[in-house]
Amino acid sequence: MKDIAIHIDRLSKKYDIRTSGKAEVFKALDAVSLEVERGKIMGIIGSNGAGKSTLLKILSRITYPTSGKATINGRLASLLEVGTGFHSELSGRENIFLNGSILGMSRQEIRSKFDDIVEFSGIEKFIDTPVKHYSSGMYVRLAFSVAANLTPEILIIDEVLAVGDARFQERCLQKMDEAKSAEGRTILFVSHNMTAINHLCDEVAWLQDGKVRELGPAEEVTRNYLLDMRQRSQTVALGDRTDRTGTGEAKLTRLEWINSPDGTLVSGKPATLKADYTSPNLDTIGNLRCVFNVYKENQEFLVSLNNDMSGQGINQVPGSGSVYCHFDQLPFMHGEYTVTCNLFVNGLRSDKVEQAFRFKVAEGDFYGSGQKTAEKRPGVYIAQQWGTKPFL
Amino acid sequence: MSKNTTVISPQGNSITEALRELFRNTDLLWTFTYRDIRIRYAQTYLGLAWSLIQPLFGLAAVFVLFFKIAGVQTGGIPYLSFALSGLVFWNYFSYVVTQSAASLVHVQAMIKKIYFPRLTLPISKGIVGLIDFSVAFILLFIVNAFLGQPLSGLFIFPLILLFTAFTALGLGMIICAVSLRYRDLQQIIPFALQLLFFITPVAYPQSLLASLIPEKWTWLIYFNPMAGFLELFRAVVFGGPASPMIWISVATSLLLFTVGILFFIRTDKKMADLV
Repeated sequence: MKDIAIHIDRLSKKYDIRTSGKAEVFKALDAVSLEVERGKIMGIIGSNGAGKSTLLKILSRITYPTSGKATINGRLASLLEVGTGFHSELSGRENIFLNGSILGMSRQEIRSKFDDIVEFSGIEKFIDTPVKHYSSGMYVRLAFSVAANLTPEILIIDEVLAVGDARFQERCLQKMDEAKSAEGRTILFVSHNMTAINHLCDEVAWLQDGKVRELGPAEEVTRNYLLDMRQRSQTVALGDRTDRTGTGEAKLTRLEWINSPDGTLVSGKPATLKADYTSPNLDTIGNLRCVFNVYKENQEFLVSLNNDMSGQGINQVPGSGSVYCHFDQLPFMHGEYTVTCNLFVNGLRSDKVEQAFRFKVAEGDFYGSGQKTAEKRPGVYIAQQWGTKPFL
Repeated sequence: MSKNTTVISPQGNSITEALRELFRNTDLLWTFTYRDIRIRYAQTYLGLAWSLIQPLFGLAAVFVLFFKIAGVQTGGIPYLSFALSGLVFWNYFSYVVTQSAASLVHVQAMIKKIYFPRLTLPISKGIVGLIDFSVAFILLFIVNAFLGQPLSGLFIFPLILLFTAFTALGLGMIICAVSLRYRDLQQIIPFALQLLFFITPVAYPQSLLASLIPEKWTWLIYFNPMAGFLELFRAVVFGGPASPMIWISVATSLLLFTVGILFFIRTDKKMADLV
């Protein structure tokens, strides 16, 4: 008989949404059934609003299902957001105890793991300093260290890898890998990072519109998922996509590269990205902010195009129009990229579409040196200076 | 099935399960208590001294208002001693009601992110309040010794304190559960407590309140548990009669506590969707 750690049986969650007087029922989860064997890592993927977070919230008992049931065999801890319950006035040491207890550890357990936690976080020197004086990186590292040293039999992880610096992220993944092989811990892992999912998970469940669309070996499911995402972004016009979140005050209708007449983009050549937006109600928009995140294949983040961060505010613009982002020299290397778009109107997220746009870049001579990169792979070129004296 | 099997169903936590969880997680209870105490005195210059200053000011205020201006008579008992014996419990009561009622609203972010036995939050406020209570109680001890009041009777205090805690936590948990949906309730607490202070014989004797209403309605006073408990405490400490109607207060207090816990647990499963 199989040893089942998590048994999910026709789990549903409905929300009553009232929009301008009309009551609507939204099915966040629709009769989802899953089984996770003990010691396995199951990945959960799906676009925004597919029901991933609702599922995890029910399993971690934050919210309750409308129907169906889940049976969990073993002690469960969830990391929906690291550092929950941290208090800024308390020292790192005190917060380890606070956070640890909230996550379900006994004081004795925390005491026995205290040194490991501190060592993993790498902030020994500041352990008795109130965390309000920590940098955000230190804060996150400490928070994750507590969580990473938990030893529940079942662990639920959601998007934690979106935080911390790269080296720390790597250590976290490593820690998860260790947990998998050594301790036989069951893990439910939600991420948009297909590389991490592929690397860590035995099995993957792909959720779509609150249902399990596909369940199977990690590589197979992630491949199909990426394929589907690609088709969707190619066949459905951006303006008609329904898998979007935000207030909807203004939304993006079209993205395209202009001044590449034959449709090819070449590294190092001038290029302009044009984004059309429209607002159903607004005549003018006080402040518009575009955050276009560029991802490599496998959904790995590469770079963010952000008018606000680059100090170029877009103010007092018509309710419908276009925004341009220009490169004198296109910095992308040879490869395929996808763009997740965020549009903010007066500081509030108005529109977000994942994989809204896809483009290919052909190899070009970015540095004008006549050299070409040896290996063709996605990435970015960065202007750089070399010499035998410091550039002061 | 192992002892660690959890079944998640639409029904949510049963009462027994919720209580069992509370006792299994005493460490969390202490951690919350410790956090509150630490935060309260973090970055204060006077620290614990505030626990002494607050009752002293309260005492000074009622001394002027009720004794000097209104000329309240306390039947031969020194007024300061009399008033302080009421304030000690009243302050604890008012602190625990206010804090436990707001305990969930304050940690909304946490409720949306993580599960932990929610009952630990209001209950921990009942423990935090004990710090102020202890300081005020020592003050009462000193004042009584100074004014020559016999002290032996003071030792009935654990009983009175326990029932004060039941009443305060019961009320607090009811308000807490209701105010997740109707945040207005949080606004009413300060007024309601102030009003309750004036109709509770804290700074004046029970007889004064009783003289204002017809004798056949006197029993109504005891539906305010604090009225009954203060009368009992004073009867033991200062000598004098204690009405058998104090049982009404005891019953009301236990009822409030039970209803509070049941109501709180029922709301528990909807919490994350409400906040």
